[in-house]
Amino acid sequence: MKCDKVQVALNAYVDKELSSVQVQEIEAHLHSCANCGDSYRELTQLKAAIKSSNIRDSAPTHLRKRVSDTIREHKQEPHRRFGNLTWLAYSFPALVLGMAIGWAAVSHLNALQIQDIQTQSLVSAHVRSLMADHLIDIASSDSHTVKPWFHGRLDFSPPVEDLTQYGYPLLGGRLDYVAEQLAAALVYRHRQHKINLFISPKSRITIKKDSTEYNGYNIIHWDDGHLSYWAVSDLNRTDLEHFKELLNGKASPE
Amino acid sequence: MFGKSKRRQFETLFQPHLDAAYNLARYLCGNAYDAEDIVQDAYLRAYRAFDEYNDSNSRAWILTITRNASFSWMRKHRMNLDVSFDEDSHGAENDVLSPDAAKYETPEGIAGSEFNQQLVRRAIELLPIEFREVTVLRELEDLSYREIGIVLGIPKGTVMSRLARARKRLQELLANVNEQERQ
Repeated sequence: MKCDKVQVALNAYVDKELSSVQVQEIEAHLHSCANCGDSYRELTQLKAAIKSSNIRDSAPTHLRKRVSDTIREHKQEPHRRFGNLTWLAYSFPALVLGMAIGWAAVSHLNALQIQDIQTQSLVSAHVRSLMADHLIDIASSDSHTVKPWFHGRLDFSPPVEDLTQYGYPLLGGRLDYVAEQLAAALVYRHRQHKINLFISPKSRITIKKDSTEYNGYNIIHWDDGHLSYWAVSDLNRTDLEHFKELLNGKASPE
Repeated sequence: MFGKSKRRQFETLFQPHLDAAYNLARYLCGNAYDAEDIVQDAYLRAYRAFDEYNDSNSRAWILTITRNASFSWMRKHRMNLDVSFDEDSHGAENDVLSPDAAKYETPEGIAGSEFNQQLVRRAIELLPIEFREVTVLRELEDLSYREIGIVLGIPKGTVMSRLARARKRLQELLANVNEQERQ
């Protein structure tokens, strides 16, 4: 290898960029050529000098942040291009939430309306029974007379109890329609007030309110076993609650 | 959603090379202040072109862009890209290669191969830009010839020959200082 070529190749040699074959060639030349040997030493000195001078500059800390911020801001550009879509994307969850709330409100309103309609139907049935001559289909204060009367007329068997001794005499029973469902209606009396006790299998009528008031009538609802009960009367709420407790065997006589 | 992950990916790949990019820009444009603008521009360019990045050498990629950004900046500021720093704008007052300045910078003087830090820096800064960039990439950034070839857009063999000439020139500059110092 000629010296002029070696002079250039020495750079790759000190930079460890040569293949092992090339390294052997260079080293063989360096053993025999003092001039190239000097060049080699000067090159290693230069490299060492630069290395020890420690003149590599590091990016200032604020530049790191500045570059980060620039990129973060740039991120907005494609979004700006599709401004409307971005807006939609960000508002989509809000839209969904809004719809959910709306749906919930409507369903709730619906449920309220259904409940109102059903409550209304209870009161209507009660009022109708008082107005028309249809308060009682089977007139009897004897629960053992009234109870069998429902057999064959209903697909469930309502309990019938006379509460005469407690001040709530049983007047009789009839079939009625409440919220488009066939229900048993037992009629009681407390002083001058008539009480309609509607009985229906639990799932058929979906009024959930324990008690409510509608057009001056009190309605008390409860479940017992597989049956639902609604006591409807113009009787005051306290007495109606007492009536309920008597039926459930939880109250002592007046 | 998408923008965030892309940005995170970009920063993971290229934030580690910020020092290298800054150092290259600093030696190409000649001052720390403008180097920051150049690096900011380079990273923005890189981010815009990120879709074209093909998982190759992230350091070579960002340094290529930084070099381009540096040259753009220099063209914009009408800097002479063919020769070394204009001696007029880097006058004797702050020219550490002048004997007085060298004394001032190095109270103990320069002995043997121990070059003063500022003298080495100044010598590199005085190199013509094509020698300067190859020297910075090799000696300060430790890039391989292959990587330097990618950044400069030249074959490995050319990297070697250019480095040979750059080092010769650098040795002359430093030897000149030594000579002046001995007088």
